[in-house]
Amino acid sequence: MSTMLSIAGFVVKVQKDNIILSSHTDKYGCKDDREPDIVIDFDEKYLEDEIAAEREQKLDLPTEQSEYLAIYRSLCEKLIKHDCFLMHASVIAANGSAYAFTAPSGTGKSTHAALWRGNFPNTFMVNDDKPIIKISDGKVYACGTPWCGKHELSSNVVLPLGGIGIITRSKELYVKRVAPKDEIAMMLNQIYRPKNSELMFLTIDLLNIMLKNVPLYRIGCDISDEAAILSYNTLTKEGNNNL
Amino acid sequence: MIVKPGFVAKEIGGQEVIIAVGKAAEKFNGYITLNGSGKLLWEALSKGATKEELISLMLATYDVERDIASRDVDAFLNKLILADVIDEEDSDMPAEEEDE
Repeated sequence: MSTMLSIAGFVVKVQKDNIILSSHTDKYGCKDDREPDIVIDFDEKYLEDEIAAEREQKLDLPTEQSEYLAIYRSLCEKLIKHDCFLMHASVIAANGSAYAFTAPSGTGKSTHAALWRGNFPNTFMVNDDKPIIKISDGKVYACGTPWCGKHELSSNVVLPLGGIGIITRSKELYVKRVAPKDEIAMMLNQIYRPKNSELMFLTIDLLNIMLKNVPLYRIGCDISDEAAILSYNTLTKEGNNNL
Repeated sequence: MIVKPGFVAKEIGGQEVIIAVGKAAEKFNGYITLNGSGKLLWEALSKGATKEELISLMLATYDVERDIASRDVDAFLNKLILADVIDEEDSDMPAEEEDE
């Protein structure tokens, strides 16, 4: 009655059978005899509360889906103490580095990643929706996870994060460096913020390490190939400290 | 003036801001920017300073006239009252002008 997974370089034991999660074991499964770094073991009451909270906020999701998301929240809370946090973003890999597109839902971050894939065959998806950002030895990495959006685009990789592009819809195409202090609202909205204060403070510490090391851009774009070529050329070719 | 529980100053992306954590975050999910004097005032306010003490602190720290210091403290407190970050104890607050 448990699933052993390898996520962000950690062995995770989930004490719960979830059909959606099980469907990702081809990429994320690992052998049962490994010693887990993290155990997700919640009682039914916790799960019911989580599902109730989920339903209050959003659509009436199928139980399996709510459970799948509740497992991720629990995992993300535990991962904070392993120097990881969740960022809402579409992350794509190019030449061994990861690039994250972030924006409120519906802006077109997945679309922008798809345009990179269409124009640059050397790219592949790390996580189309909810990557884990991992800090290790002062470097910032983006990780694939089984929670990766409706198209289920992800790879079980941990790659250095080369840039973060905030997607803005615009007829005029541009890619410009922005200062983290001017994007506080955006970044706070795009990360998972735990209710527990201590965990929230740790998350802010990790967020600050990311913002200090990884270049932040505003990408003004439409859905043209030109937009993707411009952002690709800027993000993958400018030097930065994290790579 | 009492800072409501759950409001804390933190540096995010190199900028000092006030955010809400824990229960307070359910109602307040934004942030308030603090400039240099804002940070100084916030620290004093968190330790229970009165409005008069905040004005004295401004006068002791910066080379400003009393009426300017008083105006700055009012603006600072108004910003926090509007955002529902502090509870007003005394009622001698002018409800006017808001600073950046």
